[in-house]
Amino acid sequence: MTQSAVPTRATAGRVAINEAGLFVRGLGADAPAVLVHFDDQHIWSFTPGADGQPGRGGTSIAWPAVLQPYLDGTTRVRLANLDGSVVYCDEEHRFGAGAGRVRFVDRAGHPLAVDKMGHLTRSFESTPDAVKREILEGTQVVIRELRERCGVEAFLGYGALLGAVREGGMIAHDSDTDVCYFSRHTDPADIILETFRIERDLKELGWEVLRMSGGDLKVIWPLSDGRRVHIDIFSSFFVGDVFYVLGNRSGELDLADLLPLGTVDLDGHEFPAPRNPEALLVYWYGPSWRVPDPAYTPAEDPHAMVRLDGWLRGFRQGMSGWTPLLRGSSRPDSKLPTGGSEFAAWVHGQIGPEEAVLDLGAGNGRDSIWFAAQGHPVRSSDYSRRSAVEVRGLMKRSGITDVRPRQVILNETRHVFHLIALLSREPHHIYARQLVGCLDAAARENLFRLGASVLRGGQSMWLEFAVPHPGAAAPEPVGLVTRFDPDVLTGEIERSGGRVVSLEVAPGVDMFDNPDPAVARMRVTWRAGQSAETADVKESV
Amino acid sequence: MASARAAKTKDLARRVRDRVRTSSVFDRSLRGRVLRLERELEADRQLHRKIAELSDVVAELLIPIQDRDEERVTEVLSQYRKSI
Repeated sequence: MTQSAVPTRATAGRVAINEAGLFVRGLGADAPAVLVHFDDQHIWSFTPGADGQPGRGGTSIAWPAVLQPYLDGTTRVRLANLDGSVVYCDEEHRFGAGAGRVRFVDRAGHPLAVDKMGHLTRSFESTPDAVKREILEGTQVVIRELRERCGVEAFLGYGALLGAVREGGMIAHDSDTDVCYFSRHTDPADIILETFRIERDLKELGWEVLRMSGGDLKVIWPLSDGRRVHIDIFSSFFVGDVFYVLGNRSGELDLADLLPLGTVDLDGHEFPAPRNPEALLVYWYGPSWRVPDPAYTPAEDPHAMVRLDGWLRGFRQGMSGWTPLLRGSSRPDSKLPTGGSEFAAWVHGQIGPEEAVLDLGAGNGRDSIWFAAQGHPVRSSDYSRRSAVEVRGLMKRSGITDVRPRQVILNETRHVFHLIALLSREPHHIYARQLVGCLDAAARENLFRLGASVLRGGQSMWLEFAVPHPGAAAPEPVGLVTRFDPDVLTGEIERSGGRVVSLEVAPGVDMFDNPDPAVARMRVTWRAGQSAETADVKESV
Repeated sequence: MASARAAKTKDLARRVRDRVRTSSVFDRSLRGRVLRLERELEADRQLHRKIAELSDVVAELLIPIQDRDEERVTEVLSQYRKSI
């Protein structure tokens, strides 16, 4: 990884390039979008005013973070405006010490690009026609099922609609197709319930559907070349006089411009579309929607975003941090340990040899597998979908076959109530190592609701977590976990009717088994009709 | 050294701010009332998701498992989890 700073001047030529970014002399904040190509492959587009840093006689721009790991080797860097009439730079550049050409491709060798959200993706420009056709046909199927099976008025949205109306085809630098539907509901709770029904209906088709918020879903659509494209399904609705479309758009719209739906043609495929598509394009992209802008970033109303966040979001925070952390964590060379933890051994010594364990926040499943190896029936759950993949990987390596991994989002009350229904019939101890510090108040409330509902047959909740300590650094992984005050936690537990049976605070280890000066081990029980009692609390720090 | 001093000053400023914000004088001030209203409004907004989730649990899980037929309950539980 480079330590260079983004260049702030160009001493020779018009453009200075290094591993951190580039500087373009004479490029002002009001200049139109700049397209970046490496060896004729479109890599990324940026808008100087929005993405750059104005400097002495030009603009500095940092490379997107997702691109930096690939900057090793030589490539021909071409910077130009959209139609190529202005070329800022077209020259060979060597990044790092790499001997070959820079290869910005996925594992299968497919060319990559950085999209407007800063994510790695594959743009339509580098997608073969046959695959493009598959994507379009997949989008048609999704819209058809939304209309016929789910009974909602679905239509082509965002960049796909823009491409259809402006160019009659997919926009070269776009990378996905978005589908929208109009909800007749005007109360956020009903809009969310409608998405639950739609999610259920689509999953019944055997589709892989991800929930991104209370108002938008994502269908994972497999292609014949092995890739899986994401087709986003965004709800749109009125609350009061304001028309909202997920992601984060809000504003005025005459419903007569949307319904009844008409059709548009996109690369020879017919799609349902707003009755007056131009009105929606003004709503999404402003009055200058006819002028191509490959680096377009929307101006979102911050007040509307706060409203949408409050109504529809709040259960996926940190998800994008956990997935890369867990990826590959079942391998022997993983930074995350794969053997059972000391806490697991400590708990094992205090429960019956065949008693079942629910490992909550299991990560790569190190303790799930270890408990199973000791003879305990085990359910393994984690916030991240990636966990199940790693748990299965670890099961395969260890020869354990009967751990049941499943994603559980404690902020999703539906997940918690499903667990309550399940565990009240199949009693389990609840084991949560290094979980408490990852949870917000709502998730902790659901955790203790779960405990209060199912731990009434002699089972316990076993918690290990880092606690505040003078001079102690933030626990790893920084930003995803914090230290938590055991007194505050005890208060929350007691308010849920639980009792802290034992509490020890002593030097221990963090998620990576690195030494930590203050780690709490807590055993909690619940009994029907129990009143809060004084706990047997032992402090050793 | 300088950063430790800055962190200490920031911490002190945060504590003073928190102290002011929990005082009854601030609570009665217009700014205090707006802050409180914003917090309450946010909590109110978050109820929408909770209501939707609980409605879903009642309609799709609790009512179907009311019949207490063990085989049917197992099937309902499995189907529900697949659908969320």
